[in-house]
Amino acid sequence: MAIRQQQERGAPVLEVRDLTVEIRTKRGTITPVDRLSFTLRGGEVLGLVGESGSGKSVSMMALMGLLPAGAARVTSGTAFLGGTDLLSVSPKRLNSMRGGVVSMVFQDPMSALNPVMRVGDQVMEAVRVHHRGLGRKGLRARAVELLELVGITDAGERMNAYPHEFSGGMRQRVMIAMAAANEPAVIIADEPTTALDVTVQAQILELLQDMKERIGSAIILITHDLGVIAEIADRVMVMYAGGKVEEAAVQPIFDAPRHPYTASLLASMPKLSGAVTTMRTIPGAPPDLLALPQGCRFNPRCPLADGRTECHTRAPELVHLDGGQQSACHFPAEVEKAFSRSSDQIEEGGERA
Amino acid sequence: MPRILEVTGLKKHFPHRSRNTLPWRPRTMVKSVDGVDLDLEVGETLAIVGESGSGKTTLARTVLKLYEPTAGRIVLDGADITEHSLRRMTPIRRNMQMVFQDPVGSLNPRAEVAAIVEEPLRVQGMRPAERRRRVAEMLELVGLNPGYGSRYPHEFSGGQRQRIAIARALSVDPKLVVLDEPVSALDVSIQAQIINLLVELRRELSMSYLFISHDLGVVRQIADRIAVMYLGRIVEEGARDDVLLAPKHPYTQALLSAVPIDNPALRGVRRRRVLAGDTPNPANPPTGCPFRTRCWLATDTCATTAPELLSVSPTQRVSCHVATEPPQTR
Repeated sequence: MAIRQQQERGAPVLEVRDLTVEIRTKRGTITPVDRLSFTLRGGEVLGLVGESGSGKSVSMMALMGLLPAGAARVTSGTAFLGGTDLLSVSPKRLNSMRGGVVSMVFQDPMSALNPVMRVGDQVMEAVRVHHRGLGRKGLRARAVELLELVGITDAGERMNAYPHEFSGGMRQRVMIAMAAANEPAVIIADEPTTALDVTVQAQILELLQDMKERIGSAIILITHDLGVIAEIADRVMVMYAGGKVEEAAVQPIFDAPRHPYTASLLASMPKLSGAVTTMRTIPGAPPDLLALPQGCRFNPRCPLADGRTECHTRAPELVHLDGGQQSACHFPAEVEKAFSRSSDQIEEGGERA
Repeated sequence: MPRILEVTGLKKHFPHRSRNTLPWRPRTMVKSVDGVDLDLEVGETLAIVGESGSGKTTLARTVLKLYEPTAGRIVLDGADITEHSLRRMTPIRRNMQMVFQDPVGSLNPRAEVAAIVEEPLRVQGMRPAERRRRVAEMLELVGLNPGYGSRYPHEFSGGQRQRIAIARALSVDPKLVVLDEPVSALDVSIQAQIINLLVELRRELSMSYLFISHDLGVVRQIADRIAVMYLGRIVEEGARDDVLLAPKHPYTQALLSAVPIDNPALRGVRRRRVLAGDTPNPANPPTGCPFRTRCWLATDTCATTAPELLSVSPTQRVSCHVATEPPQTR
């Protein structure tokens, strides 16, 4: 398959340009994803970070063709995966791609698995959809192999179990086995560890990393947890109110963020080391998508926006900085200085959430 | 320091009928809380940490007598409330309040914010005029516009709703507040605001907190002492820095090592202790030490004898045969 060949490390696998999604609500039309562009490269983990309502899940649902029909629609953009535009192919063709070249792992494995179907049958179905020729015996063997691959012991026996007989971590292993069944070029994992305990999260992150090495898929990992990003992502994309505000390799995101939102997120994360002081906060709450602020969408919460008219009048474009870092801030060079100041200054101003 | 809360030997067992049990067979019990001792000083915050199924929420609810304890003793502010009836509990509830995890589910969607905050005051018999004044005062205290009293919960963001829940809990001026994962449902940026608010309020109003959480980073920000729960028991308890910087129980060590660190440069460098498997089913816990099935130090003794919570220093107690052994025999 053409897509498989493009998968060498570093070569673009998925190229998304100007993806825009609109949702009609009772109060008006909102744009939860606004002209989002990014490139996913072979063999990498691209972390997608943002708070609730930032558009991270909606944008990925749009790529998978999983937006609720009627209420939400893609109004512009292309998303090329190996020569096919995911956003304009027929639903039938997209259906054949889902689970094949691109697959998804969801946050809640309990509701993503069918509760009245044996685990083995579900994994076999995931394999069968893309391997029509395989007989029942072959399917079963492949399913057992997949379950073993994701670390389920006694896989042959566990094939006959129902999802409720599995723990949360085991269910997520099954989901990963199904997502990996056809060695997809791209796996989209939407908060795969959020519903899990921290000791189980460590296991699942290790497994994802391991699966990536084995089958060579590129992974888009959606999370709100910067700790998870630090553990597993190669590159990071930060979203705020529907748009990308920063993108960079993982190290610069933590060492030298160039967007005040990224810096604020890092600063307000509870840490296990360093002195315990009053926590730095981001004043206010993410904006109402029906009443977005003028200019930069982050300006009501931004320590840099005070007294700067640009921030309040003109929406910043994404600029490319050195080292491949991108920032949608008018003053990317000022971020570092603003966040090394004393911790209380950022708390002033802005309405509390 | 005087103690606001003293809990000894607290147990809460729930009946559990498994699929294979016949109706005339004795029902098995899920020992959600199985012999917990803890105390809380005035003005102190004790955090209870643990993973799902550890019994931390059941412990919190039993302490407040929202569940009837199976065994043990609960002494609140010097008075034994273990046997108190529902009616005798009512006046005592003004001293013990709770904030829940889910700021949507814990607020009545059809009640105005003022009515929500006022409810405990009404139960405690405060006059209407005084109540109105107190509600405005409380909203202001938690950083909300007092004019918002006539609005409904859905008009507020998650963080604001949690502020409303805090205002309601604090309206009766409680001495003890039990907070069950109060920031877990909130975004990081909002989480920090609520943590700061809680720290500030505790200082101003000199309350004690029993703070339930699975997030060690959050706990570090607010707790004076930390108790780690596993399968219904406290496996380690001590001053915050003792537990976080020098954990003695293998489970605490594993828990800490599983927390992702916010530095990609340390990836692969840091030695991580990844625990195998999941927490055992509380309906069918292992014999001896509850943690032994996942413990890399487990010995034969661990399978037969349950360890007791023993002091390893004046500020730290551990329930582990290996960790509490005298050094020469180790």
